[in-house]
Amino acid sequence: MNYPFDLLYRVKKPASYIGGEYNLIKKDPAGKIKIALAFPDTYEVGMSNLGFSIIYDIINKREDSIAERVFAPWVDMEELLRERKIPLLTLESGRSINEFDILAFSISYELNYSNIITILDLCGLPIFSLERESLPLVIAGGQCTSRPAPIIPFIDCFVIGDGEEIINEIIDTFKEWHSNSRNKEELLLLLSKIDGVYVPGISKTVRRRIVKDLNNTPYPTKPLVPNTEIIHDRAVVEIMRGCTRGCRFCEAGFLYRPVRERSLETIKKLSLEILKSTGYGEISFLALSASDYSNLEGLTRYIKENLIPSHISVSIPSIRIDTISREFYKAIGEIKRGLTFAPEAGTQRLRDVINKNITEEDIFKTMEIISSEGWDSVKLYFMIGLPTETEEDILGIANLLNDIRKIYKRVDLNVSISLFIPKPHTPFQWARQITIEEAEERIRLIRRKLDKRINLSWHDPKVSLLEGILTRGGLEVSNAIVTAWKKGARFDAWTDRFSWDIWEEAFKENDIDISFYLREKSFSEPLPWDFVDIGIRKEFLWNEYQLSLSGIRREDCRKAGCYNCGVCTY
Amino acid sequence: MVFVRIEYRKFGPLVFISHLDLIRCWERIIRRSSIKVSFTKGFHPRPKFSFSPPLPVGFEGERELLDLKLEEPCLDIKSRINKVAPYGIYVNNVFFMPRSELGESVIGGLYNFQWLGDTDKFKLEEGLKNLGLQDWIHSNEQLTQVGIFNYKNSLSVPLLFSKDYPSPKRIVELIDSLGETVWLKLSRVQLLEK
Repeated sequence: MNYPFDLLYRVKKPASYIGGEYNLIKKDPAGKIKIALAFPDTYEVGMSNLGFSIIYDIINKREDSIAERVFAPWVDMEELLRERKIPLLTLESGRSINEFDILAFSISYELNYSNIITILDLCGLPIFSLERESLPLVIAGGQCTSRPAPIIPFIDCFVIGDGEEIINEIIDTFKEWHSNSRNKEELLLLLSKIDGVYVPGISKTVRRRIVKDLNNTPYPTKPLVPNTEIIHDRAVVEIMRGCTRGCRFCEAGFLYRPVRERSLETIKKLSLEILKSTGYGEISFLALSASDYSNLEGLTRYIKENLIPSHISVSIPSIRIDTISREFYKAIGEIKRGLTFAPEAGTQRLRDVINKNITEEDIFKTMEIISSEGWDSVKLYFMIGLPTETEEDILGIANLLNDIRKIYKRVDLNVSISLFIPKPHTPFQWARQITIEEAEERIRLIRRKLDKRINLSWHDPKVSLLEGILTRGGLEVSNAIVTAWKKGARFDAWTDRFSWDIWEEAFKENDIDISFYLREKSFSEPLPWDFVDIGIRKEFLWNEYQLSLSGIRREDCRKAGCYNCGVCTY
Repeated sequence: MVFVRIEYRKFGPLVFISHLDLIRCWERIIRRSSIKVSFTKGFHPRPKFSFSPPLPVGFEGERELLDLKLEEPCLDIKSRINKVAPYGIYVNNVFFMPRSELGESVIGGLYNFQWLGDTDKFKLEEGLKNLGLQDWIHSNEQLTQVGIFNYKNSLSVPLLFSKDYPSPKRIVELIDSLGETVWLKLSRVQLLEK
């Protein structure tokens, strides 16, 4: 325990700051490259992030390096730390970040940007890279670094794409530099030569790094077992990376191409080792679209014959409900538990536009399975503000749900509506995002038409607006992030902390015109993330956008053949 | 059928985990230890165990109890658990029992509070009386260093279930309300029926 007892006793969730997890190895830092891994959200969120745990494991497996962790302290903890003039300390050794060589952020959500500044500041570091002359070097990886413009001024060096190989190259480069130089400029120049690394001010462009074979990629088999409950509190085995369904709104669907699978043999081996080393009673098989795993039958058999008899329960996020998975669900006994299902749009026309390849017939077939297998409730996800959306599509959501309700009266319907954010590196990166007023109007319309016995919830359109600006914004947005932070923006992803007023003021004070980030863009307009090559041709994305506007669908390229997106020859 | 009673300490960083966290923690310890115990039925099986009354967050447990039902005999339970327990849980003793009667055997706890602060002894006694507490031992020792908190206080209070006593958290609040306080340690020893 690194913080004084009295301090921890006075915060709401002291267990987030104690560390001491089972499987934690305390290493002697003498002579080693010391890396502090930072996650700009709470312990409970950060510890559930697979990428974070993979990088932690890779660094600590090296004899010459040591990785320790920090998370964003909740506001009560931040206040106490400031009051008592205690810096943020790592959970492992309780050292302050000033004693580290590298501070590495894992950034997977834009609404965590204000917390990056909190962490830098509480570590006693200047928030702007240009003002940091000495170590630690501040680097960042994670999903958000594929469109890093708004956070460029805070970070010395970005890692884009899969981090498993690149982290080793960064450490090797750092080590070599450290043995004969202390000049940070020289270090940055050396780092900029690594494929997948972007150094602001030095690199012109950057190519996303892709790990080729997951079977030969390191995976944590002795992950830390948290002492307090985290968001995903179970063993996790990533069974595949990438998805080729080609849903045009889906950022992950483009950002993590191509599809790479772990073999069933590898999955079995990893599962066994992880369950043994952690004592978890539950395991989750992770994928963007687990139903597309080519040996789902083999996996089902393994679950039935090996896991269930050893008192292990299984969960799989993102699985479609069809005949194969029906068997699968029976095996894992998901029955009776809540189930989620995402038609995304209310009419067939709009589902074709976004390339969500499910028909109305599929939806009712799914409901039939849900009902006949005895599920009590189902959660359905929809988006509003999709390109070409009309009133008919909005009413379509209500009509579809009302029709389902009429037939399946026993099943509780819980509907969640979110606002579509046109994400970088997707075919919709040129599309416009609807305003708060439009979103509110469309939600009202659904509420008016929807059967009152259906439970409806929706995301705050203001949160989506902020997310849109931070995702689609350029370098100029960074000033607003600093202003908002100074005004008290913290944990913007948490509804009880989010304040649109703070951000609105911050944008105003920095002359940032919100509508500029919402509007539709032309093909010729330079985009703030153009310098990041994720391996997919821009012309392909534009063509997909044009096809979408004409309502033309594309089947999964693993079944229908190559559309030449570029990633397989990248 | 054999039950085991595990007598353990909860200390260090783990004083800050909740009772629900503790249950999860024990579930994983049991699974890691490979001791064969009975599991609940259903799709989310858990070891069948019963715990002594929850410890308030922040309190060290000097003698906590846990009963388990064994499926197969096992003689090195203590060492097998201590080998796979996180820092903050340590098994002191293991007893074999014909049946589990944890609920009946714990009659209360002896709570200990240690803090730095210039707490007015008279006000503290008055406050404890107002909470309906009759028995307690309070000591304050002047520290040699000169500082704001130049007194180290210690208070021991037995809280029995049979009497309508306040929760230990109320005592913490009382002391906090009597002036600036820095907590050093909070702990409990469970009181068992003879």
